[in-house]
Amino acid sequence: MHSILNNELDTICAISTPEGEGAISIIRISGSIALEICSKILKIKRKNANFNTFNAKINCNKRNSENKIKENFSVSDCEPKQFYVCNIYDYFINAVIDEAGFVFMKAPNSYTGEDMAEIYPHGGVFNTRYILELILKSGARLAYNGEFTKRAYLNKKINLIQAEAILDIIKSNSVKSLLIANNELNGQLESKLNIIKDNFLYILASIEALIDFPEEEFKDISKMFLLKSKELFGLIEHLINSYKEYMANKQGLNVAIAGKPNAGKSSLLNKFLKKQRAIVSDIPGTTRDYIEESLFLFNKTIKIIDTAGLRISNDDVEKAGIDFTYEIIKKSDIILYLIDITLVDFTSDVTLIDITKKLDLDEDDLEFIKNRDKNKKLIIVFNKIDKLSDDELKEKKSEIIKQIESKFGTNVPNDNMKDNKYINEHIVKNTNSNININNINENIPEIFFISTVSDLNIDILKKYLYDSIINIESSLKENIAITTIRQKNLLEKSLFCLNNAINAFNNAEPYEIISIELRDGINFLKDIIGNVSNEDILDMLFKEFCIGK
Amino acid sequence: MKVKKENFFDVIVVGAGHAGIEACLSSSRMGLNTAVVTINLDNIGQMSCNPAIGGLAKGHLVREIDALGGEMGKAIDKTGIQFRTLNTKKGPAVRSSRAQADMFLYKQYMKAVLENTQNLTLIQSMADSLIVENNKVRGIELWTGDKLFADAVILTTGTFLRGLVHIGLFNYKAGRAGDFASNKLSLSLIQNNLELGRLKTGTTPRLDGRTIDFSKLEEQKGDDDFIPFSLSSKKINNKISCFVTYTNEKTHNIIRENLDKSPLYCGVIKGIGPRYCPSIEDKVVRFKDKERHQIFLEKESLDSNEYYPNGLSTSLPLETQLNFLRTIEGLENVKIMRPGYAIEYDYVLPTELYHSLETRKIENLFLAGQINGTSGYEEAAAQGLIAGINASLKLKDENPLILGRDEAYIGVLIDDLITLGTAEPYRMFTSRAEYRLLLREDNADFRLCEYGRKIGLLDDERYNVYKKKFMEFNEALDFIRTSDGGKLYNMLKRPDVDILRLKNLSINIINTTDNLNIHQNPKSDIENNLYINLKNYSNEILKRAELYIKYEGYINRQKEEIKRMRKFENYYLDENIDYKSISGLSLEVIEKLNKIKPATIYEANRISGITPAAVSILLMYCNKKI
Repeated sequence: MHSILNNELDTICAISTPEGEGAISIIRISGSIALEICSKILKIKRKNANFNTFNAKINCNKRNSENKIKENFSVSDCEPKQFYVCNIYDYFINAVIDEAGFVFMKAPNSYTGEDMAEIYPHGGVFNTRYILELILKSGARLAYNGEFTKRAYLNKKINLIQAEAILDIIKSNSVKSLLIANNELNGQLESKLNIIKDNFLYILASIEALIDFPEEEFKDISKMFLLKSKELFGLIEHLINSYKEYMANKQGLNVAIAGKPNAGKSSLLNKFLKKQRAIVSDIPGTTRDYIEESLFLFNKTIKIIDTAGLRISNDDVEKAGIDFTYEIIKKSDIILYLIDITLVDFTSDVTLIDITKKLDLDEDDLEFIKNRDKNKKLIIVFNKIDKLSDDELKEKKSEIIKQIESKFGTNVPNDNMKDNKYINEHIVKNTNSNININNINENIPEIFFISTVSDLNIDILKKYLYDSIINIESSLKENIAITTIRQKNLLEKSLFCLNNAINAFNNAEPYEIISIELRDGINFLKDIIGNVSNEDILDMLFKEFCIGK
Repeated sequence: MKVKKENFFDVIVVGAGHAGIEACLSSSRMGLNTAVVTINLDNIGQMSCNPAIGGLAKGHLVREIDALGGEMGKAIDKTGIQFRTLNTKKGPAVRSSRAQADMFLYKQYMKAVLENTQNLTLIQSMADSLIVENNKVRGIELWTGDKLFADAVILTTGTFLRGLVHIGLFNYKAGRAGDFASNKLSLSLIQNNLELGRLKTGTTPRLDGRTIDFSKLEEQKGDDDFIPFSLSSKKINNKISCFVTYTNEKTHNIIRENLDKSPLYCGVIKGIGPRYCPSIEDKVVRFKDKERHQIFLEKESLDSNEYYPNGLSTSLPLETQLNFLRTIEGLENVKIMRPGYAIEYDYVLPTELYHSLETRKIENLFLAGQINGTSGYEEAAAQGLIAGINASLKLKDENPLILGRDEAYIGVLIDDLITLGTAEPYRMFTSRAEYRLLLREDNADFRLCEYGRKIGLLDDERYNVYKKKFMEFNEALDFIRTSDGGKLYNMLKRPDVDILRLKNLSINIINTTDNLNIHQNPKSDIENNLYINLKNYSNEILKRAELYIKYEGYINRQKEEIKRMRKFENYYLDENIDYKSISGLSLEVIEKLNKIKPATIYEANRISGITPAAVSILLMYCNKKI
């Protein structure tokens, strides 16, 4: 079980400098195994006693005999708060990949109050990510936004006010201002927050109008109150859920590799991982459990899951594995469905039909699918094209396209679809690797023809997968308003107050009590929508309600 | 310079409207030799607009003025002709009192009070300029060239500063219809570096009651169980009814067709009008879908036939006013006695003031009422009272009386003005008070009488009434809390249980053998005896106790909040801070803080758009400085 407590005990790491090229980058690691991780990936070269600015690293080529270190000097011999120059060593491929500065801070004398290490590699995007990946592989996990500061707070290194203020500086004061400053992608989110604020103000203003202008005629005010408060309730709830989604995605999108037994799923996983992770064999059903791996695809962390082959089986263990595969598929953002092109037979490949059924028609999951539909991507991969001759392949391809057209074409009720190219085929040769994702019809699966044996089109598939991830992430981002657990809690408290207010209204309790609940509700949202003053309430009141006795 | 003793006062009050009255009465009653200068001695306490006192949040202000020793509550109790309690069907904390005044009796009453107050000199004249030496006020120069000297001056000029009356596209200089404007005093204020702004307000035409057909109209009677505004008043008398009618599509069409003759829509009027009291043309334009607007017909005096059609403020030409009025039910043959009009006037940006209402730039100069950008007789009177009190306290070398936002609507009013300023005529609303449950009309005396007594303004009569009520209340509360192991107390916590019903029913039980349903459960003898004891207390006290019990939870929560907020009042923010220099604040926040320059973190926290994170940064900044 991955409990919250475990989460707090993890060793975390992050690139602390902004993304992009710079002179140096900073990678921070904090937690009990920070030093252990560093000793795996660092080879200390020398100590630089004169370190006081970042420039020191650049000057460190001037060898200073005082700073020479004895042979076999290891990371664990490093003195805390001293600057060392070291090589970064990828122990998977036995190679030095970069030179970097290194400082270790012993608990509790560090920012977080835990053992902490800072590595200062050269500032390239690729090498920094590569090192981060190395650290991740060595047992750390990626930190959440503000998690270092949170730990500092939890370890009593700073108080809450300082913690918030520091986070605030990082986040330019409020989620909202950050979003406004950031980019137009978040325009949708901003308008969502504005709707929340406006709805809150509206229902509060309606109550205040009833209180302060008892002799005015207000038509339908209670109807509007209930309507708007219900809408508001939904909006806040949605934000809370978006946080949960956000946290799930923080750890990387889930990519499931599925298909019938022996379609080459594990081989594909190994191709992605560039190592033998899954046991592969020619015996169908080799993978009975599922295998989950974190993978760094260019600069994106994803979770790739190799699943048990889908087929009707009498073996209880295998059956359980197959059931579980469906579970995983449901939870995945992208499904790579593998088919052995030499065995392709659409009339009997029930699993593929099944999978589309599972995704589209399962009533229990209808709600889930509605929400996830857009983000869930099905990619059909025909493997083992190396086993066919060019002519055979050509013939198979046209047959496949015809079959898929007939199967999925009926799933698209829109007549306009006929004119569109809704089979998105990425063919073996001369494929433009810069696929424009936006032109791809989301309802229709992608088709790839690859070979895990001869590496045919693996890179194109990877690139496509990467583009899909970027696309899905950006569409997810639109829904993310809140990025910290504290904000989520505030939203929950606000929702609670709103609920009280609605109940009080329905029970015909005094308006001033309803007003108190609503004001409390707004107050909890200060963090997210900023302070709401009496003047804001009155502005809304005079805008929406005709006053004037 | 040799000054004749006759021309020398402790305090001069300029203006004798609702602010001026309370200002000159409080300073003279606090023992200071006071002069009040007014353009027209026959218009002391004139109701230039609505002939009414009170209303939501305003009724609160009147009772607070009374608890501090002011005059307004006593005056309206004596001269009111219809009294009503508003919001009786809503929560008890937002109930408010409103009274129609006989505007002539009210004026007479006020003039008589002023004339019979010791230490108070009444002068009919106009103030043209301030006499200021070394940034300290020394007196005023009158339009006749005569000079009056004083240690403190209180300006309560209402709408008179460069007042400009608009009726259609015709306009003329006046302080209000029928009175001179004060055209020179503004210049003197500007010369003394005070920043002025311009506001607009308006009033309705006055109608001849003989030409109104009341038979068709809905009648609105007064409430006989009304609790008088003043602690010293025994009872009030309802003498008249008001009437309700409505505008209709025809009315709206006439207004729409004549907008080109409206000074508001032609851009003739530059001043900013109040949103809560829009003219009828504003309402018709802004709320197109509303089929009708409510009009209250209010009699101005027992001895006059003039009616005030509440809800019809307008500055359209006289002919248009008559045309649209005659489309309204009951007004088909109406005659206008005085046209409705708009008036523009100068005000001093209230951010120029300290919480004591003294100006920051000129020592011993105090401002109160519409000159501070407010609207309403009650808002004016409240400020007049505070300005009079604080001018007197200053001359006596004592600390000013500054009421907190958690103590009085007066505190909210003044704090809002001083901290946030105002761009439209400021009116009090209950929604402006954070601690609405604490600031009720019924407990104004409990909140403020001790202050009134301490500064020497609250007379024995009112103070003793308060003391008696306070004792009775505590007794009643104790009785309810302790009787029968708190059973009654717990019952009263329920929103549907009415203490007066319990009291009345228990009295009935004594007289009948019927087992009446006081509550769902059949009553035991013990309970009957319990309720019968309620008859020992007055209805007013029981209602107060009930209210206290019902809202205790919320009230305690608000008190806790106040305690927390009060802490922030001790974090001072220097006026000279450039918020740009504090790292971590967003541009939006910097802009707001630099504009408003809050004096404390507490004030900063109330500014729209300030995030808790920004407050944290300010706190860190304060800590660092300490």
